[in-house]
Amino acid sequence: MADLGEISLWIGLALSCYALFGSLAGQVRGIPALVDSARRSVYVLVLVMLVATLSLVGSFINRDYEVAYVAAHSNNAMADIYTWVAFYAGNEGSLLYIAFVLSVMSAVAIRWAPERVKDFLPYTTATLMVVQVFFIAVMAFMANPFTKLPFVPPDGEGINPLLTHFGMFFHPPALMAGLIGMSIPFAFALGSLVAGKQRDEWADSGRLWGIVTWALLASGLLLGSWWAYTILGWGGFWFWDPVENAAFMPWLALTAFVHSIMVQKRRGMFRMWNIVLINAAFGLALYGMFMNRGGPTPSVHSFGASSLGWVFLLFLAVGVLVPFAIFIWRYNLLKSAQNLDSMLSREAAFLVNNLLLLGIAFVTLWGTVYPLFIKLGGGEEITIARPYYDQVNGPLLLALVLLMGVGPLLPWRRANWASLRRALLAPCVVAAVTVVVLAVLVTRQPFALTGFGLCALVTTGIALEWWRGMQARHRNSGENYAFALLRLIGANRPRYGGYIVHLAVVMVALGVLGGSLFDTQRDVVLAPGETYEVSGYQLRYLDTVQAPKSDRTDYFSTLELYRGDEFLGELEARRSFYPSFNMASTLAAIRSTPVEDFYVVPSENLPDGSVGFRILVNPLVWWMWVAGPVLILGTVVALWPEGSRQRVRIARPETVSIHPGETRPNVV
Amino acid sequence: MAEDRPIPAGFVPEDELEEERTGRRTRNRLIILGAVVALAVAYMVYAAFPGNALYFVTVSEFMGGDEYQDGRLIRVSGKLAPDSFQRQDNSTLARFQLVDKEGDGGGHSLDASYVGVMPDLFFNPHSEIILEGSYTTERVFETDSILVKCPSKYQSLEEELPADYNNYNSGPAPQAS
Repeated sequence: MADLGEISLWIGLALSCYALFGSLAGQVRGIPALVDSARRSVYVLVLVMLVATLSLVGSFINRDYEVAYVAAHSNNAMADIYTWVAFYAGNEGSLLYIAFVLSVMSAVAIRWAPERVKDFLPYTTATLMVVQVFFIAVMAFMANPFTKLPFVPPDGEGINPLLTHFGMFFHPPALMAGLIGMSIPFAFALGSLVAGKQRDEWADSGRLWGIVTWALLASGLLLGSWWAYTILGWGGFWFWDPVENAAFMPWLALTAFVHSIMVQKRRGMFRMWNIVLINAAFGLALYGMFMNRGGPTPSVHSFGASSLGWVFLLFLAVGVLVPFAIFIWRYNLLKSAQNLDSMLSREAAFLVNNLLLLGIAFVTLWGTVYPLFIKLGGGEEITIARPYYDQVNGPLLLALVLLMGVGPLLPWRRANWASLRRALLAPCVVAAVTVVVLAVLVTRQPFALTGFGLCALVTTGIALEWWRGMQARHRNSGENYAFALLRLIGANRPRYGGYIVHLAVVMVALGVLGGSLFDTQRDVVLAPGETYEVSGYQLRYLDTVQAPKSDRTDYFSTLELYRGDEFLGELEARRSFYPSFNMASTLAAIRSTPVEDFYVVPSENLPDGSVGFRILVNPLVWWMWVAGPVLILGTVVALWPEGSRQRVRIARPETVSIHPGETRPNVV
Repeated sequence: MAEDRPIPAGFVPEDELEEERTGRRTRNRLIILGAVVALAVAYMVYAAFPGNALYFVTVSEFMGGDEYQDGRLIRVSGKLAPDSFQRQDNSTLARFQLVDKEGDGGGHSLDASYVGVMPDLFFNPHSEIILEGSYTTERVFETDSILVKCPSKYQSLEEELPADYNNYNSGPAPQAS
């Protein structure tokens, strides 16, 4: 089994090298047959990587402990279902996962690339293959998942108990797919730039893959927060630690990109800027992968704990410097087709949104790398505490939410103040009412009031847009309201998909505001039968039952929750102790409602049967987890291919006439 | 513009001039706006930095340096000294000692206290424990929050297991008095 994987790794390396040089040579020398064969080898590569992936899965299922990776990440006690998690629990396996995902994405992106990018597609292929060659080569030479031990151990070391959680089934794969997926829009941009003939043709593919990657990263981040919230037993969901930041920064740059690429698509502007953005996003994604693999986290005392750190750092340098050189070389190609007409326009709003997002990314990056600079400069070791991020990024994020409320209401090219005032009047009134009501009833905290006010502003703005569109359709065509809404969304999917995503962002903002500004935390030790009162709840601890398992002992603590006389339900929280790892993992009992979460986790089991509990009351956090599916829905709507072109043309006559078959005026 | 009249060389139509002018004006405004945002971000970083840049030292470094012991907020890393953990009869007050993770650290150990429940990996002998807090005049390190780094033997994607998020939520953690 493992031999098959090893062999396919080498075949994969050869194939991706061939695809790289074949498409380059074929394009430069003008040999279409070579280009074609290189392209086909990208498709074959998917099969080869699939064989490698399946053979590692097979080794896990058979518990083939001769394979070092299998021995290190599974044992006899592990249920087969966790093979999925064990596969990417370590360096080698996660590299294989990344290489496999990249091969699939590359093949799909190239096979279904639109006709108008065909001229530079070989360069795109070559770019993707550079990344692919890197990952397969690192595996083959340095971190081979199929390396065999000189002996066969009777049992493996087992999987890290923290990973045996539902959230771990999706969080790492989504995040890794998102980070590597960044290669695709980047490759389209770079391909177009190297070919040097066209300017805006890559924008469609760039936007499509940018959004796919964006959604993957966003769900990865949300799932990771959710996992941390339910299993790490500290009641929070975001900690600004270097590894989290490493995934957050590329997402920020990509968020900027999926907005500003719209401007290039529609108006042929921001060409240079978009190239810079996607390069930055790709660079930050490489940085993220570097940080995850023996990168320098502040509490590790030297650069690169493993030799892989250096390799990734090197690749990061290449991945940033080479595109930058190409950018300088093709500088003249990137002049905008048009000037910005006015500071009060959709284009300008996108630009400010970009500045803010990059500002947040910079603040985050600075906090992460500043201690390294100090240390490399021979200074004392320091670390940046979390309030730094909250204090600086908090206001920037609020400004971003404000922009999310105003930007979509601005027309392209030029807005006038009168119409803007009209459009903003109702949202501002609702926001003001929200602030006043909250100030009277709930809180006077300025940051919270601003935040909730802005959430109200955005939501009202979006709701009004939908309502107006729905009403217009209802009046014009007599469609009933529900049907009118569906048709409205169908008629301009990118726009309404975007609104849905914006709503999801508002939901996340609510969760973050509630969970981080208004949470109550209590650490208490309770004896069986004892009752504790917090935030109007009464929590009664009944007892703890032990359940020995093959690899661990589970302690189930049962509690009853009351509010006044009302019985809210029984809660069961779990704490598991794994003797072979000498570590415990917990599963919090959470009573989740849209208003607030009641969260209790048994943190210490004391000898006399009492338990040290951490109790939290977290308002509004529920919204954050619900935002995930909404966000995915919005992305799907935004990307759904426009089935009936005819109707779209009638709805937007300005997009038809110039080049039939294109949905966008040719502005070159 | 009339189409039948030939356009003299060097002639620039009035509206193009106008466009050129607005274009330049918008560009200038854009640069000003960009500069304002950049300056604002830079100022916020500058203002937030001093309060949040903490020294990060080992136990022996901490015990050897008076400047670390003046009650400032600081982070100390080490590991739990065996058998040093005590809980005052079923209260949430815990006392323990931290020693250097590597080497003997010159025999230094740090007396620490913490109010609350301990994070999951705190008792694992391989764990690197990072305390954030400050030294009191009673020569006890009052811990505001505990971070435990996963033992590297078990590669995990989430490297740090934060123990206590709450102290961070409303501004800097309070200085011990």
